[in-house]
Amino acid sequence: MPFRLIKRRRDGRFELRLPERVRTVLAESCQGMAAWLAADPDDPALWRLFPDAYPDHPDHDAFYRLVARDQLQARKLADLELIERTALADTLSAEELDRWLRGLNTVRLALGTRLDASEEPPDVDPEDPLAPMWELYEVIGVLVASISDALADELPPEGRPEATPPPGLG
Amino acid sequence: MPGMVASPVISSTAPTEVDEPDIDEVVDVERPWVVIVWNDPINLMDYVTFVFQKLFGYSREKATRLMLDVHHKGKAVVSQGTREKAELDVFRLHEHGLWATMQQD
Repeated sequence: MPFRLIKRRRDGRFELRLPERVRTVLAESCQGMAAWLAADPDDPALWRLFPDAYPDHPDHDAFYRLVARDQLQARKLADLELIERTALADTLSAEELDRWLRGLNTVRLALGTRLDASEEPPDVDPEDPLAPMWELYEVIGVLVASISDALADELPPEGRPEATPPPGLG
Repeated sequence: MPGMVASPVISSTAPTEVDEPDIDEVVDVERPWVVIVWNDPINLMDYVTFVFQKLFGYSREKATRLMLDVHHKGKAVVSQGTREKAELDVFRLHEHGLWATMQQD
């Protein structure tokens, strides 16, 4: 990155160095995403936001979906709404930044699914009607990566003492 | 094979609260449950690494290795434990948009 998108201040808050026009587009994307989620939560195009938990146990999975689904949706809607509310804020708390991260990732997942994105950078014709959607997908990707790094810097690099990795990990 | 009674483990009140197991619930306690994260073309490496650090308290190094396992091998076991614990971990991973499932070891 040629410059830092996220800057941590001494008071622990974070500056989001984005121009207003970008913030406006992000807010509108989150608004659209929230409207989609609220209106049609069972849309198969949103499957990626609500994956199975138990591929081998349909009974367990049915109960998981019954209880977890509403909570997941509520959390995602709350994250998106927070981004809309704080879109023009100069600074964010760490908690707000964390929720920006999740909300933006939710939008990116929906966009990527819609675009059938692969791991390879796409070769998009500027005349392609989906070009603006690809651009938004890329911009949000840069933000997601930047915020991830900024928040990871807040965590102890050696991890938490009580964390026990699964067997097989050194 | 001991009977398995399907019952909701995630509380309907808050994601971090888990119901006490039903006294009548029969669970196969012999085999732990593992939580698997699957590779997907959308989630970014930096993001996945951070989520592993945040949710499981892994060091940056271990979280990165796990993420690379997911990326190169198609999937990786990220945690294990009782069905209760595994389901909560799956839920938290789903909250972060990761493709996670659970199965018995």
